[in-house]
Amino acid sequence: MQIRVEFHRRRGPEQVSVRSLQFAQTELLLGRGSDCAVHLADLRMGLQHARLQLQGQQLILEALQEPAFQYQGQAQRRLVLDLNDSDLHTLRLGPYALRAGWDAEQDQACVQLELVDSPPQPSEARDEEQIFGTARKLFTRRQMAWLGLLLSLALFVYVPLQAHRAGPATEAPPMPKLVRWAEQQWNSGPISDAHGHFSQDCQSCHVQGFERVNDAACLDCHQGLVDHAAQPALEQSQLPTQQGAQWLAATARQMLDIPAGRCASCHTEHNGNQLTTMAEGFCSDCHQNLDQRLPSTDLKNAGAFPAEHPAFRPRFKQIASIGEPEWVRQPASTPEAHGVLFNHAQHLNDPEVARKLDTLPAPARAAWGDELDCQDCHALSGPEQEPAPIVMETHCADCHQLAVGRSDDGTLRDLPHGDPAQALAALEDAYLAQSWRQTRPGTAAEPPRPASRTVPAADSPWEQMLRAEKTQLLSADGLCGQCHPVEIWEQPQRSHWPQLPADYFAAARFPHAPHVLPGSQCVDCHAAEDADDATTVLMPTIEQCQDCHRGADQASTAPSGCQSCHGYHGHPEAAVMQPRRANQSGDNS
Amino acid sequence: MSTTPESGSAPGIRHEGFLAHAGYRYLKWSLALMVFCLGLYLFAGVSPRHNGGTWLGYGLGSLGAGLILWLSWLGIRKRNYKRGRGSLKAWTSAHVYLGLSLLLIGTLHTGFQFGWNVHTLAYALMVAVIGSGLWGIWGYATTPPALSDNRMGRSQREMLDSLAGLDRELEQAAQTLEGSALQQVQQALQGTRVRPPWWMSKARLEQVCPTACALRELDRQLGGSSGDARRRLETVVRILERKVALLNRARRHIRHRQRLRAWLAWHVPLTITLIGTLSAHVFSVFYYW
Repeated sequence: MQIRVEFHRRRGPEQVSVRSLQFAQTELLLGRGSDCAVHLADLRMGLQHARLQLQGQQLILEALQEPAFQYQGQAQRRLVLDLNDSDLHTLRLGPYALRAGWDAEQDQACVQLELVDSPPQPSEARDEEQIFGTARKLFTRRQMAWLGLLLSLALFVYVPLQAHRAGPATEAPPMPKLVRWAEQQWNSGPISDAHGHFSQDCQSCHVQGFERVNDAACLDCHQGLVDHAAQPALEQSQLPTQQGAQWLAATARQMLDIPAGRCASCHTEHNGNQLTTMAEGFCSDCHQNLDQRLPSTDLKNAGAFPAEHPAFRPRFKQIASIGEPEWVRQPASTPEAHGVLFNHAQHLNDPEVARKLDTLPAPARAAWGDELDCQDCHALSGPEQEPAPIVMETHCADCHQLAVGRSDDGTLRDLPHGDPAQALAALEDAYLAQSWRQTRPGTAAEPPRPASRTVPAADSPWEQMLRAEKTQLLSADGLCGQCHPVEIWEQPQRSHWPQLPADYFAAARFPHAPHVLPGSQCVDCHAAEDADDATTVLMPTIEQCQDCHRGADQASTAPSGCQSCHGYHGHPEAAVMQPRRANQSGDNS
Repeated sequence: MSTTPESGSAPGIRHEGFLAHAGYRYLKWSLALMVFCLGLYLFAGVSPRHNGGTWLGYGLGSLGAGLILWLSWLGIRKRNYKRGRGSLKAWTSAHVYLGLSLLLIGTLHTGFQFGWNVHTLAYALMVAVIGSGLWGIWGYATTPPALSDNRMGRSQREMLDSLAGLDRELEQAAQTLEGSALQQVQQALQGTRVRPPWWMSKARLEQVCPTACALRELDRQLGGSSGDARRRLETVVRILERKVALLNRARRHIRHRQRLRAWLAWHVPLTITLIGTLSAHVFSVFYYW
């Protein structure tokens, strides 16, 4: 027995199992290969990894493959160990610890091999839960849920609330962009263009948290608005609210403490430019049978425009009115006493007019053209193509001169227009001037002399002539009477004074711009060519409008809703909400 | 899912999934609710336009918010399996169908008015939650049969045990190898991961999996070998082939399980985030009334 090889295997801290092999030969091969005497079944070992050779009491170790022997901290391919030493020689061969010594009792070499570095395990722990489990490694569902909840509440509740508490954007100290951004995240829809300039300042309208936008916030800017009608009349005209859906809505409003008739009842923001909420039947609910709801009204019942709208009643002066002018809505067939004897048909059709135009000085002739047409006097201007008011000096005076004489240098002496007393005084001045010119020395003309010298100086021929001229001036066939009825100066009341309404339909809005279509003419709507009476009202009838405004059901391209022509808030509203709108009435003649 | 008879069960006993529960009762309820809401939306006179602020908008919004809270309650209800009215299956069936109706109710509530704000964010989250729920329904409808076919009756533990057994066989068979073949097998034994990283595609995994690499390499060496060496290699290659097949099966199993669970990883946090955003939406609407 030359060599004993012991395989040690630790079972516990102090428990070692030993398997021994005895070899008679002095040379042994160590390795994984089946031809090795000492079989080391570990894949980290070579097939023939090392050779042991015993010479006397010397053990020669030779590594045939890597890794080599590790002995006293050094890698050695060949080692010679003297086994006669008292202690075991300890060295490493790959994963094995190798101890060699001399067993004196048995008189043989003893080589102990112990696997101290166990074979590597798969890098992945073969744990069922780790491999097949679906638990999230990075964030659990619960963590993600908390994160989302807190983030959303912080960003969309806490931060905007702080912005609100800091005050209006215009007054609050500058804030981080994130805060302003977060506040804007509450904006539920686009702000209308009209309110765009304060769209970043939520508190302009939302003054107090958890409080509905109140009317005061609107009226801060929209001052001067009036109600559609007096509050009792409004309430009396509204439908009874104890029926069906109306009852539901009224009850809901009552429960939620939402009063009716707020600005926001009809005007809602955050819908772009659709600012006004007008439910179907908004107007006709009350106006369709207004006479029953509100017996005291002088308004006619009105429903859908194509069928249920009353005939137009233009508003103009009443012919029998006295005192201050009274503007009354009346049938268009009523003669209009506007105080000007103007014949539309004559001005448009009579060849005499063209001949008169020929006599005008060159600049005026060029301005008026060969014949008169409507726009010579009623020029449309502005974005809504509104007709300009008629002014005597601009529109009439070129032909209808008020000349009563001529100065030495040929300048025409005109009577002032618009004041009979001043006109009479100017006539007197003209006569005085003429008498002076004709009676001064060297003047050929002989003044008309009175028949008797007893005629007082106060009643000179000049004065008689002047009196006659004054009477003539103010008579029906005199210069003033050519264009105005004599009542103007014979009846001193203001109501006789020449006045045309600037807007015959003050309760409605009629922009000319969308109605002036290519090929259309004024006379299509205003029957001026046939109007040979100054009192004829030349406003179109409702039937003319209904030709195009046929209602929603009739495939009409022209809108037919009430709001197309009528406003809700009455005239003061016009000034506030629609600045382009013309004034209620005018006094130009 | 469907009312097909389960194989092997007694005649007349049919499995009824949550979708078909009680003869599609909740599908019918849901459809009725949707028709009612759509009818209101189309025929109720709302001025100037539909949005969340009209009477109908408030109504639909309240209904939608109520539904969202009730649908979320399933997360609590399912943890108390026996408590409360109705079976959990009935709750799940109602959850699915009423949840789908919420898509219409929420959309009508918006009046198709969208913007970059917390209100539309709440709507988008609601759509995302419903979308993840649909993903879950699809997973529940299609995955269990595939999962069961794939496992071939073996449990997860059994799959791992088979894998360990194959590793032992492999180690044993590899004792005769050396050189690069040995290295490949050692790599396959140590470096193979059943569960690949979440970001790795199937194709990439095929390229880098040490077991698959070892199989390819040894297969290549097999072509150029003969005699004893060939026999030795062949033994190892057969084991590697079995291991690759088993790995594929285990990985498919992981994917199936993920498909059954991954939607919840979105559905639940999105739902809670939706509840937060919805609260912000409601708060803001009434704070800035």
